[in-house]
Amino acid sequence: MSVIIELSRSFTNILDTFFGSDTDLMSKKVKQILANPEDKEKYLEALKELKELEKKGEQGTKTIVLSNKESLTLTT
Amino acid sequence: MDAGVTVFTIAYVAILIVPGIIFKRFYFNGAFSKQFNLGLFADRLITSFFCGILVQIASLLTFSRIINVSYDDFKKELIKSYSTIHKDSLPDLSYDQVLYTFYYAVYCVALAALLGLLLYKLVRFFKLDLRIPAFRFANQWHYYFRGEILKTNDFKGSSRGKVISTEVDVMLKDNNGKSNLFSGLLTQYTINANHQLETIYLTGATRFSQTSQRVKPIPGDIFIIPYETIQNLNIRYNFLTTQKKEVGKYIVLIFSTLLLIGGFYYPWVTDLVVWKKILGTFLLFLFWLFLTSLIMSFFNPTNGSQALTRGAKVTILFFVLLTLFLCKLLFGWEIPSFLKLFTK
Repeated sequence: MSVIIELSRSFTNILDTFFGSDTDLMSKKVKQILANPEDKEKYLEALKELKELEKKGEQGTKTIVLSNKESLTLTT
Repeated sequence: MDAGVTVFTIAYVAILIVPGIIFKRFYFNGAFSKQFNLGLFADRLITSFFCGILVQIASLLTFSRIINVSYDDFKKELIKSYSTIHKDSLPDLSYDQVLYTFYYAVYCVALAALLGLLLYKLVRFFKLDLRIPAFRFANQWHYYFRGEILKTNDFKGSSRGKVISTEVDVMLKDNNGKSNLFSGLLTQYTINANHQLETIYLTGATRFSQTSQRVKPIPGDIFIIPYETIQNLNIRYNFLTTQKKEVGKYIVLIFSTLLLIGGFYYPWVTDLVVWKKILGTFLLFLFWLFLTSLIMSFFNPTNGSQALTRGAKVTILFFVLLTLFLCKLLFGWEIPSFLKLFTK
């Protein structure tokens, strides 16, 4: 059963790459983050910190680790 | 009323304008769909007419192959029907000819849609709308809100990575004349027929409290702001640090796109009957889907997808071989001579 789920996800991903909309405002990654309350909080917090840096006229990066262990490095 | 003129007017609309309209409907899609209705009526009519001519030329060149009739025979029948109509009488059409006329009408519409969509995908894939102003779509808001404006010549060098989301700070004026500052992640927006902003939708919205002099979160999922209440708008892009581009992946995507186009085209130039051509297109599409999934599974997963397990890869390989075998049965493909060495 898990193989079928894996395959359906893989096929959906391929079809989405070729035929999906490329005009969505948010990337798929951010949509995925916002769908998870824990990741959403981390993401919004990171953006807040980057915004504070920007206000001080500084540039910086902020790395967050998502619940699926994937790490994202955001920058101002 | 002159019957000839009436028939030709209807034919002109049906044969040239309709495919042109369908072509444009599929070219202007997604965030740019409102452009379909933009402009003067005469302008839209002329461009539809021009696109219709292109679609008709492509249809005439390819349709005879689909119904397995030579181009010269097809042309003779067309000329015969045209001269009969010109003499103010209806052509004596056989049952097959009526059927072919029906097929041709459906084919024109399908080809117009396909060509429109293909052109849109090409313009977007090669970022022609960002590089060449003539290709730019009328919806400027999309380029600003999506951060694509940073890739245009005017903003060259402003990009600090890949834009993954857009934040906006919005200054609104309330009924008492007081200004309020709201911020949030931009999730969606709507525009009217003239491409003027109507509404914006924010997620994770916050507001600046004048009394406590700090930012307070607004409980809720989506914060909707009508554009008429906005005094000014500040856009801030959220960048993901530039990652090393996987060149191999891009090559596979280009190869896969060519394979997909070839798969849609190939069955229609064979001598098979129409239903076998349709079946062949479907089988080649499945073959393309399985093969692309298999190849892409060897690259790092993106956009939330997960790496495939060994079992899933073996299953996809089985489907690749199965669809290839079915295609061989349908199209009667010969095994290439260099591969026959291995089968001996």
